[in-house]
Amino acid sequence: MERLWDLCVASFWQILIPGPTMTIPLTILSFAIAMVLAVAAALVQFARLPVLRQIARFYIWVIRGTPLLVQLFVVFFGLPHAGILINAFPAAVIVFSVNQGAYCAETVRAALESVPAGQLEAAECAGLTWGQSIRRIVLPQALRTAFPPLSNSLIGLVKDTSLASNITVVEMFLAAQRIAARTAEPLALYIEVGVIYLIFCTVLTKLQRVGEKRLRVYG
Amino acid sequence: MLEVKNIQKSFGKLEVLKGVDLQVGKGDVVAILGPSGSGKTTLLRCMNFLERADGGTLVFDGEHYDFPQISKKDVVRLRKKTAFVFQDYNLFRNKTALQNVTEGLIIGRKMPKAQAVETGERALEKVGLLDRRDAYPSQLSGGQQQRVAIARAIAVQPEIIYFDEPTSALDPELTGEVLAVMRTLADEGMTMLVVTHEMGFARHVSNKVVFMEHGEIVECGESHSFFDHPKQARTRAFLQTLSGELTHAG
Ligand SMILES: Nc1ncnc2c1ncn2[C@@H]1O[C@H](COP(=O)(O)OP(=O)(O)OP(=O)(O)O)[C@@H](O)[C@H]1O
Ligand SMILES: [Mg+2]
Repeated sequence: MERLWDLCVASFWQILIPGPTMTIPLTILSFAIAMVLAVAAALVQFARLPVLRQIARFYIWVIRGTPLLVQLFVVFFGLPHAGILINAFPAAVIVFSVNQGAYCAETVRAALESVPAGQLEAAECAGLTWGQSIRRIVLPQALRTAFPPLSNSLIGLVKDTSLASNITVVEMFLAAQRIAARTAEPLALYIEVGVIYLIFCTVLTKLQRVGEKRLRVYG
Repeated sequence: MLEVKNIQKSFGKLEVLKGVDLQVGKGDVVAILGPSGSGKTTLLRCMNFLERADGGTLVFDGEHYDFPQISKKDVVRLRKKTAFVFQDYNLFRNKTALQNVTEGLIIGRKMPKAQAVETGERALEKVGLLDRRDAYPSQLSGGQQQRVAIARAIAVQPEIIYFDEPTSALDPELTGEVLAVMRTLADEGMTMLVVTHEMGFARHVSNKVVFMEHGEIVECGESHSFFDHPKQARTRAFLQTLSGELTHAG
């Protein structure tokens, strides 16, 4: 028992260090790109732009209908056979952002539609163009509504980055896996890495609370 | 100043506006009356392009426009000369009272911020709400919200303000404060087109009255002659039901 405890303590930093160096950058970068994709895909649908809207629907359909792990394998192991070689980290960023973008697009679209039509009408009657009305009045309100579900997606993404271990990205889970193999103590190490993910997500949950409180200013 | 000719609008098979003509002169306060469903809101919304009319023309400041064919650019340009006050206020929920008023100035009309704030504060003062400048809509009563909406409308110095039943979402004790603000505007010569069920306003504040039914104008004229000597039988019947309601209510 004491031996296991010592093992956990000894391995803690080795598992934790890929957190700030790999898991967190991967999460933040992917989520930032995902948000751009999500807002764009939501807006072209909200504006009912003819062709772009179909493209957005197709994108969301394909991405939501296929497993994330399959998408990772296609990009990292599949594309090189078509002559497109992408390193593990950028491949992971591409897949995670495109994947999250599709889910978040639906969240943002629903939030845009929940803003009463009168808000857009009043903005346009005040002399704002459609684009200005969206940017200044509708989108801020929609993003406030979307904040809790988007936080949910972000927390989901933190855990999903563990899948990147499958394409050789040395993030926290792969670090734990390697130590588990070396020490032949899978139970202790996998529980340990689970606890570390739990700590990360707890911090995010706290941040979500703070964010929600700040966004509540206008009731 | 403004003339609408033969405006038509259908929703599917339902003909809501069957060729309405309307003239508004500078400084006119025109009240639009009519039973529910007669197309009053639709008329106002078409005039400000919130709905696209199927036919008809608009003459605004001597410029001619075809309702079905008007370009986006002209729509934005014309909207900058007008303002709209909605039945349910539609204040920007993510903006304070003052920001609601300045948004159309700073963003829509590219006015420098300091000047916009000054203009906005003057508008809020006029509706008696300068002390609530930093309140969000959710922190204001219905009557206060509608007064902010009126401040938002007057701040842009429009050539005309459209009002769609500005008091009908309000409790009776709050309608007075909104009507008082509107009366002040009328006295100052603001051009206004007001859909309303407030007969007192139509009779004593507006100088012209239009009576609509089933998407058509039944009668229009000077408000005194309209109320004292209605020409059409339909108008007389409408006025009678209203006075009947009033006696019942009183
Ligand atoms: N977007 C829409 N789609 C379909 N039908 C509509 C739409 N807007 C209005 N209508 C119909 O058009 C008719 C006229 O509506 P409108 O709102 O203009 O009447 P109104 O005179 O303003 O009535 P009220 O006094 O009740 O406000 C009604 O029969 C209404 O159901
Ligand atoms: Mg109406």
